[in-house]
Amino acid sequence: MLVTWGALTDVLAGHRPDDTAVETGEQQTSYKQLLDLTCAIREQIARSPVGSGPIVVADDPGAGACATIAAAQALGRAYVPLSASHPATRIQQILAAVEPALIVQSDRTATRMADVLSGGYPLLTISRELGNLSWSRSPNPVVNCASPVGSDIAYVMFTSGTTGRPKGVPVRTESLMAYLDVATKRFGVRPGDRASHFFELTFDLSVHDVFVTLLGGGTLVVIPAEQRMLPARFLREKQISHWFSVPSAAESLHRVGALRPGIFPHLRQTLFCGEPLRWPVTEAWQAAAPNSRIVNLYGPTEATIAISYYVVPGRRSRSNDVYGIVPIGQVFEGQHGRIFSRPEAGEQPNRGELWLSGSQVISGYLDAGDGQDAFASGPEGVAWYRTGDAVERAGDGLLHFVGRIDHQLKISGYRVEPAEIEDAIHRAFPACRSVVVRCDRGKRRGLVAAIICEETGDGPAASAVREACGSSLPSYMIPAHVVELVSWPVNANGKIDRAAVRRQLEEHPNPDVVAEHGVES
Amino acid sequence: MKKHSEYEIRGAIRRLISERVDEVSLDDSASLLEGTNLDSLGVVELLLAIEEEFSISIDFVAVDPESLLSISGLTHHLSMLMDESNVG
Repeated sequence: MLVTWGALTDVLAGHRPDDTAVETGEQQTSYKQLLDLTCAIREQIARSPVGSGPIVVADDPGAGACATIAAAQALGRAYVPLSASHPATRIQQILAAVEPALIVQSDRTATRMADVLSGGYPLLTISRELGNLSWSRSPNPVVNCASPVGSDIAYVMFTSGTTGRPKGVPVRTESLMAYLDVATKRFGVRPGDRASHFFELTFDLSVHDVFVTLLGGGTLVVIPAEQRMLPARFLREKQISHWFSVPSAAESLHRVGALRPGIFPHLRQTLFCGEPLRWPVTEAWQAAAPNSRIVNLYGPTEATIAISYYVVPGRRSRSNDVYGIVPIGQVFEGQHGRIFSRPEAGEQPNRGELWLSGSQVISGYLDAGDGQDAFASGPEGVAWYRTGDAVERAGDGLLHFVGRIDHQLKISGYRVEPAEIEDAIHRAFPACRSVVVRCDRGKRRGLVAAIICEETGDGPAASAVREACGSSLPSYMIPAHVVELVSWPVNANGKIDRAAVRRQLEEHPNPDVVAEHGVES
Repeated sequence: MKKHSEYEIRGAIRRLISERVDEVSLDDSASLLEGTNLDSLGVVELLLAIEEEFSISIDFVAVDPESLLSISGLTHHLSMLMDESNVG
């Protein structure tokens, strides 16, 4: 099935009208209700004097957001998700970067969004019962600005950037259709299936949740935010048949011993994406969900949701257990991957940076100034996206994730550029230089900011650093710990050795640390 | 099993949290994920430390995770678990 513009509404109309399309807690929305809401939003926008730009979805996952996304598709407009939990500065940066035609919110999020959506953009509010649409701020044709988001774009996701502000990734409709073509065939959902809606709308994996489930006529079951950490009860109570999450969710359940054999009998398909998937967790998950096949997906936002996959076999063999983690497998049919290595510099030809090209790969960032180095032209003039991920092609022909070639970190699947955090700290405390790393061992876990100030011992309090970060960065980018160092460990080139900073923070409680800002009095 | 008062339980939980995060200015009802900047795996490690501290076992399959995400929820849940095991 290849889906084209406007066709999502046709597909919705073709499903059994009384089947549940979206389930949020006790609220169930049938396909008929979802279609009615989608059409109402589409009509409201079509006959209003709004600009030509994208539609911002300022809503939590649920029927309202699904209808807004479907309406955007039907109108041939991109959608841009916003999270109410992000700080006002970040939301305003995103609004300014996309120049939306309007913002759609629900009255669930209206109070949380009220302060930050103070700009002049038209604001359409969906009532709690989903029956009523009203303009909280009416369109004013005089102030419509031109948007840099082209009419060929399906959605724009913002990810951490190295320049100190979020980086807009515009994904073309063509790319989304290419992904959905593969995903609905290989990982599809059918009427009667109950698929998880784990991802926040600002995470591009949510695009899979919404589209693959609604195209297939299944029920999209929204997991409440507070259940994401340990989702065992949710999976069982809601009788989820199709699960899709970051590996962290399985990792947590495994760690607390909750992945007991056979506890997820309803599960038939499990997809993991966004982080390396470890074999021990995979095997425990398989035992807990004996009727489920497990697929490991891989793909940066720039390559549209996921671009490679590996179906976990019943038994792990020695060849696919090279790094203790599950292979990322093979690139989707029709898309292309190559390993960039320099044999002349003594590098192995089967190991290096993964480059991607094909219809799923973006042609550039929203701001052309972002990521100039992210694209390269290869043989025959083909444009390649450089993922920054180091991979190895093993003897079995499968791709294995090895690590990053730069400093990018992952926190619960979210990409984090340390430079963006370091920039926020530097702007608040110009006399300090910081290096942000992720610690996985020792007393300090998670993001740790190591700081050196002009006057030793004069560093800002941890709470001040965290507050400064919190005013412009999403919560997953706020350092859990702040440690003041005396000097930076450097490598042979005289550059700060980030790996050594991390080791120092992990291994030594107080090596060259002059002041560790602990409990505030 | 030794019986702890809710006051003792709350104090021990606060101590275990303060060993793991920089700041402990945390409301009893606030979410540990939002209030402390522990990530989900950090909260999981904290829960395991709490199990060990009180020599109890939380049924992570049956429990509503929301009740484990605040100091007050945790205190209530642990105190209930201890009552149950003392009766049994």
